[in-house]
Amino acid sequence: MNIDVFTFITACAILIMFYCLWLTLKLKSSIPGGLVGKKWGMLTALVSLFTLGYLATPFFNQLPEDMLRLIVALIFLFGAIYVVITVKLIHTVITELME
Amino acid sequence: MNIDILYSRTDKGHSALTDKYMNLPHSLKRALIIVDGSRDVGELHTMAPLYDDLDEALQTLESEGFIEPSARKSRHQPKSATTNKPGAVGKTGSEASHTDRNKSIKWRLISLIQVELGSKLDPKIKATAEKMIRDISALAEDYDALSVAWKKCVKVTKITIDEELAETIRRRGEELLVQLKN
Repeated sequence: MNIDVFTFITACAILIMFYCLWLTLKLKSSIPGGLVGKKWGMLTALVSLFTLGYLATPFFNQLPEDMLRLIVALIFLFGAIYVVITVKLIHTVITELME
Repeated sequence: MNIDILYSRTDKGHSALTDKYMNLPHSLKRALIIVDGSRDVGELHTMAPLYDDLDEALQTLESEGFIEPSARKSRHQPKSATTNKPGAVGKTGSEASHTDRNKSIKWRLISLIQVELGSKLDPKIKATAEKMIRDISALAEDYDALSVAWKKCVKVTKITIDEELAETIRRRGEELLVQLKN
């Protein structure tokens, strides 16, 4: 079996994303609600979406180029949304703790 | 439910405990057993933290005529009614009264956490409430220590449990702490 750099990096990314999904779900059960709990559902949904996207990575070479470009653009978009939510959440928690 | 309400059993309530033919549901019977006319709702919650449906049971018992609200205990009366009037009580009496009031406020803060958080069904919220109660129980009975601990409880509630509930806890806790400060 020929494992190239692309396959190795993709496999690492998928494993890390599964670990991230596990952490997100584990934390979700510990946070019933509040400022963090409200946003955590959205973060969980985004991590689930990324996990599915990462799992599809090995099949990207079978997709038409237009479709591939659309998927990459969507991943960038949802990635940006994820970062915004995370940064705002951290900001809210820090502000709350500093009061 | 107001944690200061003091319930006592009516004749019907006493009969319900002694009459083996009166089959009250288990949740009502266990609530009726702990109602003794000397502990308010907050104390009942603290005494029986595992009774998740205590508020509902007390309301049902009251509406069915098994228990009735009694007069409040003296330690829960407003400050003007419990503290010394000028010249009426000496320094030692005033200090004793102040200490009793402080203890009462700390106890009522714990009761408030038990009622608002400890009675929730979610085990995570229950665990959080138990930790808050442990932390407050270990504190000295003074305004600064209790105030800092209370703010922490409010923040934890706001960040991880419920914002509206946190606001309720903040408001009611501050009402109690103001009495302690004065």
